[in-house]
Amino acid sequence: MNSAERAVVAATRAYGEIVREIRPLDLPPGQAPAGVSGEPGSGARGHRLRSWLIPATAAAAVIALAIALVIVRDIPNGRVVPPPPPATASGVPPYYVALTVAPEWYAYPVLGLRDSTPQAADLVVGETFTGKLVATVKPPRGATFIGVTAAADDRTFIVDARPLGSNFGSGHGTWYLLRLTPGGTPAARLVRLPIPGVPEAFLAGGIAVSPDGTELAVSSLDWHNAADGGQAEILRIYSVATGALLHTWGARLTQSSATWFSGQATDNHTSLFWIDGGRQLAFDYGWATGNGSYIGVRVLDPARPGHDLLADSRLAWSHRVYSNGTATVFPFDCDPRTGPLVVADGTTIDCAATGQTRDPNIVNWGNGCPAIPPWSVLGFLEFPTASAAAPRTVFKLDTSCMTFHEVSVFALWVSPSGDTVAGYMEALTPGKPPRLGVFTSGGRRLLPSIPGNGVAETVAW
Amino acid sequence: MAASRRYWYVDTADPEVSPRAADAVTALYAGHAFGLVRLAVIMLGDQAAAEDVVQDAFLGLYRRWDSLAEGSHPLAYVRASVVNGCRSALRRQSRRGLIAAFGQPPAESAEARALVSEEHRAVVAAIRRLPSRQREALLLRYYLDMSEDEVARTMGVSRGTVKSATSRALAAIERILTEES
Repeated sequence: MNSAERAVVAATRAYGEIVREIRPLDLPPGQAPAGVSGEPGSGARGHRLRSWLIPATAAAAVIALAIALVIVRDIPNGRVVPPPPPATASGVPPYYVALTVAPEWYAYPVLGLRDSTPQAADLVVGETFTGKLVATVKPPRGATFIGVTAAADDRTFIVDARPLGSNFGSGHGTWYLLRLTPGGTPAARLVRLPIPGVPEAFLAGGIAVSPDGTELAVSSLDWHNAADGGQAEILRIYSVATGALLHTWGARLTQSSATWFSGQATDNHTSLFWIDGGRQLAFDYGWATGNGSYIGVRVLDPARPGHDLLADSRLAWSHRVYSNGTATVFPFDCDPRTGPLVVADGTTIDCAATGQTRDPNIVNWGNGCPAIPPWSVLGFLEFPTASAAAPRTVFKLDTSCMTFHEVSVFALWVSPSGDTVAGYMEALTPGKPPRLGVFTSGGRRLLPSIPGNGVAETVAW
Repeated sequence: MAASRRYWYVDTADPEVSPRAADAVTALYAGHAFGLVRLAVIMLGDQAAAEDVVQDAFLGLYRRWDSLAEGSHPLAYVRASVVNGCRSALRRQSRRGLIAAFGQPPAESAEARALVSEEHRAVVAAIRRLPSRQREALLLRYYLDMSEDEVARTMGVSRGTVKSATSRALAAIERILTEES
């Protein structure tokens, strides 16, 4: 245990000691205790139903896998993405690929922890506007899907799969190409790619396939490559067709006060963007100083020489967040917990935004409705990168008097013009999964729930 | 383009609950609630909020007792719920302006100022400035002394993610403490 680990252990244990007494458990009245041998699931009427649904689901999964999974050893060189299809009226691509989440918090115990085996995530292909399930693709045996990125044609996706089970933490990932043929048989086809997999011990912070599908950018944390044993953020670009490593950049995390790259500060899996027709790469980047926290976007030209992720990239946009910590009212502004999204030509950046007040005379959190509205707004902002002009509001929703258990906003996709965002504004209906929506200045359109359990870890359009 | 998100929500369903669940959940509470409240206090800096989170977690377990899969681990469920509940509470605090997402930890309680050394409080303040995933991985690993596999299952992520998040967290704490000193 090193000095930092010892400091954390000592400090947290000392801090925990301030808790000397806690109140007893307050269960709802009307439940008569009987015996102490209760076991989870012993009274579940639905369990018998699930017990036969499980093999039925597994059988369906095998059939789906047989239909969808095709392993191809050699990928032909050249362009893999056909010309893009006509866009929809809103510009939102008609198909998406989502990873079903597993295990998630409330699904976790229901799915069970038998044999301590993590649950594998499937790929769900759905129609954006109808909610129709196009295909469900199971991961290869012993693996789980953990990330997906989309090319510009809305038919070509690249998927990151990692070992699952006993090899967890020691193996390497595998990359797959997912091709959609809506209406065809099969509707989705999975092809193994020759790109070297990211070691399981490393965290893939971002993945992005180029618009034409020829190159894959992968960022990851790699503490083994640093000569002094420190950590390094590594960005690699591979040829999709051959798997060849085309370019590598790195940055020591201790080189500056920068503290995160590519969505590591948030729960975003992907914060890499090909811009300028695939000629440049943008990645989100954040740092904190004593004066506040900043979010930003750096841009890298892969055609230029160099291997220093910071020195060879430029800061194209930055924004100070929550800068006025003493105010009682926080203006409607980017939420640093979700990464910014960069439009394809790099001229505009959209972010999920929140606004609130902390004036206790205004906030009445208990019933969710303040005495003096509004105190809570959610939405999306659009920033130009070429000037310091004020951001434009893409969409804003006053949630002051809504009843909710949790409210957050996530931007998942932005149109080329930046004026349309697809994402979540979650849990507007208590107890129900959040729904994807398309948000513009003209309003919002809620999309059908994602097939399956309605929950997606990653969505790619 | 792709992006991802983690989500959670409170299921307000009113399932039938086996009567003996009350005793089992109460026994589990007696054995583990104290440590979980302490964990939540470290994350939130507020004992009342921490107790609310832990109460909610056990209440959630109680309501879902009969729908849990046989052979599942109630403690694992509660731990995951507490971690999840703390994250939700931090979001609510942030939305209420009590903390900024990264830069401003919550004000120390009088108890903390009186009972915890300045050095230890600085470490805890640095922990609270970490991104949620790093903070959770770090505390589960080093405060609850869970294995990487257990942390991975609790957080619903891979072991590799736990390793990298923990490593990042330790490096970030060193940087924060160095900068502040």
